Amino acid sequence: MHFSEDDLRAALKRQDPGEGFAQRVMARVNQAESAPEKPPRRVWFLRLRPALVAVAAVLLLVIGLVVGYQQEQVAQQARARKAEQQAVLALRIANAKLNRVFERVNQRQTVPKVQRESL
Amino acid sequence: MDESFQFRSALQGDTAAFADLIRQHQAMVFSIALHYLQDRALAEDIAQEVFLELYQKIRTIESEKHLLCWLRRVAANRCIDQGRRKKTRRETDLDSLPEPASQGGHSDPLLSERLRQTLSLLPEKQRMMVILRYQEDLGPAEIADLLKMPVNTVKSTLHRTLEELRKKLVHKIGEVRYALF
Repeated sequence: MHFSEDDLRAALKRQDPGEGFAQRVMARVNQAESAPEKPPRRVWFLRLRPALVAVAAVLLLVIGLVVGYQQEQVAQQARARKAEQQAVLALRIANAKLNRVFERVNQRQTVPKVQRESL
Repeated sequence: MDESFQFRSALQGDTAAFADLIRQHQAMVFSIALHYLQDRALAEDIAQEVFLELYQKIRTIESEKHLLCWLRRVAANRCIDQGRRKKTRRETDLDSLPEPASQGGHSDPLLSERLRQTLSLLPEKQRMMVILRYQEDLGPAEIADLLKMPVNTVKSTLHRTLEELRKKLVHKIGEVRYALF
C-alpha cells in the first residue's frame, strides 16, 4: 500500500457542508442582530474595569509610599531623641568631672595658705 | 453574480450578497474544520461561527484576497482552540464519510480514510499545516504567514510531520513498509 502527495490531496479534498448551510448561517446572523443588547451598565463596568484596576493600583502605591515615608520620619525622630539624650548625658558627666577638678584645684590653692598662717 | 461585485455588495451590508459569499467559501471553511476536528457537527458549528464573525467584521476586509486569507486564518485559529478544548482524537464515524464515488476518480477511498484518521493523531499545529498544505495548496510562506511562524520552521515541521504521518500510518495498519513521496 503506497501513498503520494496526490493521495493526501485526495484525502483532504474540500467537502461541502451541504444544502442550507448559508441559510443556517444567515439565521444565526439574524438571531444575533435581533438579540437584545446587553444592559449598558454592565458594558460600562466592563469598559471601566481596566481603568479601575489601574486607579486602584496607583492608589495603593501612593498609600504605600505615604505610610513608608511617615514610618521613616517617626524612626528618624526616635533616633534624634536618643542622640539628644546621649549628648545631654555626656555633657552632664563632663560637667561633673570638671566640677571635681575645680574642687581639687581650689583645695590645693587654699590648704597651703592656711598652713602658712597657722605657722 | 460577478464575484467582486458580490464582495462589494456584501461589504455594503447586502445580506443576499453575503449569503452568496458564504456559499462561495463554505466548502473551504467547513473542510478545514472537518479535516482538523474529524467531527461533522462540530465542523459545521465552527464554520458557522467563522462566517458569523465575518459578518460582524466585514468592514475590516480590504479585498477578496484578504477575505480568503482572513477566512483561512480565523478557521485555523478556531479549530486549534477547539481542538485544545476538547482534544478530539476520536475515530471517524463511517456514516459521516462521503461515498467513494465522491472522492474523484482514481483515489483509493480506503487509503484516504486511513490518511484522515492518521492525520487526526498528529499534534495541533502539524495537523493544521498538513491541511493548509494539501487541502488549500498553500506554500510554506503562506502557511507561515497564516500561522504566524517562521517559514523555515514551517518547512522543517512539514517535512517532519510527513515522516511522522508515514510512521503512524505504518503502525496503524500494521504493515512493514510504505513508500512516501
